[in-house]
Amino acid sequence: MLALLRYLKGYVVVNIKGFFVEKFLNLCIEKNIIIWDVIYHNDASVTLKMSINAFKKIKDASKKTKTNVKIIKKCGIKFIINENKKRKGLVLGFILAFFTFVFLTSFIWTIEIEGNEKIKNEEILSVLKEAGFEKGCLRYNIDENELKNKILLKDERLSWIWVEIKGTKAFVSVREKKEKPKMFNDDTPNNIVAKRNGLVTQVVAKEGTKIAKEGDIVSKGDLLISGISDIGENGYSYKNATGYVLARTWHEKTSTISLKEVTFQKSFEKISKKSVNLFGFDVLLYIDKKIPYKHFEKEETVKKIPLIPISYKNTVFYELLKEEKTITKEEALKKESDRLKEEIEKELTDDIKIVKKDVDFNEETGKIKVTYECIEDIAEKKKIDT
Amino acid sequence: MNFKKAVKSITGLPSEIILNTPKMTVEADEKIRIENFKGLVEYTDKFICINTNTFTIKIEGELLNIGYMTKEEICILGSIKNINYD
Repeated sequence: MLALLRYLKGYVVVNIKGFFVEKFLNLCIEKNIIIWDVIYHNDASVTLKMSINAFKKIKDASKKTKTNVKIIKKCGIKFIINENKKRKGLVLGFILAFFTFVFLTSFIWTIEIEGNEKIKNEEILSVLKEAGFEKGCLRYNIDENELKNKILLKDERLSWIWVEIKGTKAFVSVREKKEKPKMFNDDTPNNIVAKRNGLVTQVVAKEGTKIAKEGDIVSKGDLLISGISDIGENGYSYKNATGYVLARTWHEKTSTISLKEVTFQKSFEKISKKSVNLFGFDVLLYIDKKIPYKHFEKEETVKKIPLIPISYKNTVFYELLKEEKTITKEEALKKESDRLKEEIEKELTDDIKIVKKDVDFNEETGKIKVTYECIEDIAEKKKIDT
Repeated sequence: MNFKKAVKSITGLPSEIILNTPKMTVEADEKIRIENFKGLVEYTDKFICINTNTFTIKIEGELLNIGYMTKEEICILGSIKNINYD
């Protein structure tokens, strides 16, 4: 602490040589000078430290005692300033760099969005832009709470948004509104209709009158359970028809098979194109944008530098060679039927029971048809227009 | 002098203030702080002689250097072997 103060005020390291060194020291302290770190040397000289103001007063003392005073070192802020008076350019550059730094870090350079599933990043960015928040805007006068409220009001698809500004990077977290489950009011008058074609096997009605019966062949949209009941003279009463209707249904998919199979294989040829992204602008490190391969596979690697909006992207194009192979009819048939089966099964929900799987193949036309026979609940609520 | 002694015994104030006697604070064999000294008589790195109001102090040792020196106080650092009052 004391050393710091002494350094700020400035001091000199002096060497005193002569016969009456002790007398010199006594004379110094009589002038109210404080000296410290006094060391005796073998050649009968003494090194000591005193402040700059003190040094100015010792001229008489050294004359009286006929001692030789020599400055060994000058320490202090004053000396640094004196030295740098000749280096104005350096000081100016330093100040300029400092202000440039402060200036550049006053803006938002990166916005990172997280949590959006259905809404695209660009949409969120444009909503933020309308509210006054975009890349390159000042980060000091952004009120995060005001921004959040504004955006929630503007975009109805978001249920929650959180904006956090860390340095020049903004983190935006959103949560989308989940659709409210369709609640059927007990009072809403509904009919139950068929959602697919099928052969009815069982009709169970909790509310409403059964229209379809076992063994009926129904088409999509046919009335199965009615919510309208005739009560004679007083007109009709409307109910919310509920229940389930099991029916035998058929899910099918058709396609044609070809005896040629086309595969792509990577050859050993590849071309890499590198680019650098500075502050959102892509700087291409190559001139030719054309890719010499007819078919290729693209692989991108991006390396980012943390906290600075500079990133390096390396895109490697691997050449693909097209290979045409002729396959046997049996192979082609199996492949295509497997593929169609996968497609159908993707559409079926868990509660549909699969009873039979059929594969129909027409040799002449090459058409293949896969049919799944299932038993499922084909009940679907439809609002009655009153 | 007697008046001052009387003041001291009545008030109980320290004698280095009332009577200007020297006060030595010794720390181990490494540091001596002498308050109320008058002047430096001799100084080498093995022998220091200091004058006070009442007597002289002689310090013998090795690598003796002066930590700081002001008008009233001097601090001696180093490896102190002997302290003599004369």
